[in-house]
Amino acid sequence: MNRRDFLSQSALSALALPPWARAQASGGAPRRDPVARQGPDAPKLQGPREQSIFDSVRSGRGLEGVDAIDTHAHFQEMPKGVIWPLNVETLMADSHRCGIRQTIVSPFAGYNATNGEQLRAAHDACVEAVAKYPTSLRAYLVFQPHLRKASEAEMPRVLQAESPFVGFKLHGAIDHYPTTGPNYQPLFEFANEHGLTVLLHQSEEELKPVASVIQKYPRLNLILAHIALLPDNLGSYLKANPNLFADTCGSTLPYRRLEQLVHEVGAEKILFGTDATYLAVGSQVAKVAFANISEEEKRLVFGGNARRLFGSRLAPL
Amino acid sequence: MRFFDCNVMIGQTVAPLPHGALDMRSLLAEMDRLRIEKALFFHYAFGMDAKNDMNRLTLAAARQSDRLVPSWVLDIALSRMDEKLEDQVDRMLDAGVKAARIFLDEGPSAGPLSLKIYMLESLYARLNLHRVPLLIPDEYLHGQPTPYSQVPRASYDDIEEICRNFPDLPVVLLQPPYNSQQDVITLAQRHKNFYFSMSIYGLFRELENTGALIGADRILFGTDMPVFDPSLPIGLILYSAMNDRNKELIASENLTRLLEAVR
Repeated sequence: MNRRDFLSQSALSALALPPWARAQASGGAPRRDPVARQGPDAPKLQGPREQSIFDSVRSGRGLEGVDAIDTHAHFQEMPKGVIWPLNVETLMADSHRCGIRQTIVSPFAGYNATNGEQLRAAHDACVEAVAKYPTSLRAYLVFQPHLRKASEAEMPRVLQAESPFVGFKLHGAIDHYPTTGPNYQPLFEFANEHGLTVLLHQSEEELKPVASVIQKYPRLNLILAHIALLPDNLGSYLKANPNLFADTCGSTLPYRRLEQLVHEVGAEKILFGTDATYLAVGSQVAKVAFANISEEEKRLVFGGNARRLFGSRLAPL
Repeated sequence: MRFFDCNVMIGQTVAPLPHGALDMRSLLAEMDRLRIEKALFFHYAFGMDAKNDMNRLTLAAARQSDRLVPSWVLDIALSRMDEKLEDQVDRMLDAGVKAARIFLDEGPSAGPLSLKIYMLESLYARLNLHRVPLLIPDEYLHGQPTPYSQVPRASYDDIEEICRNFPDLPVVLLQPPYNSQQDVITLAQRHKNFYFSMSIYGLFRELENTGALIGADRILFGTDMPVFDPSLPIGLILYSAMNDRNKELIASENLTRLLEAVR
């Protein structure tokens, strides 16, 4: 979302806020921190001095003692000397510098594929990449709706013993393909049958189509990419659908949006992602590390939720 | 590492921002929390004499803490019968303010922004004379209005013209997005007085490679609070694959140097 759109939507957004935030936004009540809930179940609001995650990141040391799992990354082999390197070695270097222990990638080449051979080759590149980094890298299979048969033929790779693949990535926005389109249905049925996770960058601006899919396929877990791109009513959908999640990655984030979402739906519904090697890693780490949420909530977002969703498909701790 | 934020707004907007406005106290609290040492800021105001109100409120807030460094919101259309546009630069300097910023005129009577030299030559010349950094939001170059302004008529061509004609005037482009790298790099390579803030300039290794091409001394840290989350640009600098010296330049020293060069 660009700054202009954000500002022009701000009045409507404010109306969609819960009463405590609306009062704050309008200046009509004293400022309260989004996580400063009242009552016995209120998480303790910790200052930065008490937060080891905050301290380790703010000092530039990297995440320490955190099982950080990047659930949304990419790579592609590129020639040397390019201004925008996308190769897996650079990705892993930056991820390790930030203290990320495990990264799940999907291949850019999978989105760019225009025939089945290219799609298969993109997935083969994932196998090679994971073989290089067996303890810190896993991959998604890309399901390309315009290559339906080829994509379906690739699906069983996720079930093979010792598979490097942990789930599927759909990019409806690139493919200009609706979430409810018929070509996605075989994938959703397969993922539902096997209880797999699907990461979706959807083509729609609203969430109704996603809700219809996940309600039809309750055994699959669906992660919506990019909370900053998702509509303001994301929280109500996350709350209503136990198999729906959202990830944190994005080039921008509205001020206090992460705190507001964690307050509204719980940290259990949010997963950490970087979108590297599209985006830089450090900014994505900082948005969670510096959020005004509890240490326990940060650990869930950084990796606890990914462990729960992907289980033994990830490399062990 | 010390951080000096070049782009912060305080004050209530008419249509509220979703997660609230910042006032002087809450900004300082947020700076404490994130360990941001200083912030170059302005106070928003809306009304018939908005720019005057903005600067009055900015100066009042700045008096409360030396960590809050005021920036002057420029009148870009004549608003006083007995004053030339460039006279405000003298008033600004007399008030101890060492940075100026463009903000769209708002309200039904406001015209669209133009940065053309024939419109603002005397103002640019006076800023150039004193080497006052001029902050220009990138969104104005893409026709993005505020909810109460006309669509701005400005472009990267205007930035190029200003930089070329006023070589002692530091022009700071605020928050160019990550896909503006060709404009940013080209302008910086052509003009030694071009700078930009980096909060959403966050493609993978983009900051590092741009710094290698144009020099880290041309990049400034800025957050755009309270519109965007300030954590991202801090993390971008802390974890960039560049040496500590370049990180320090971006985090605070470049802005400090620009302000100290004002004469």
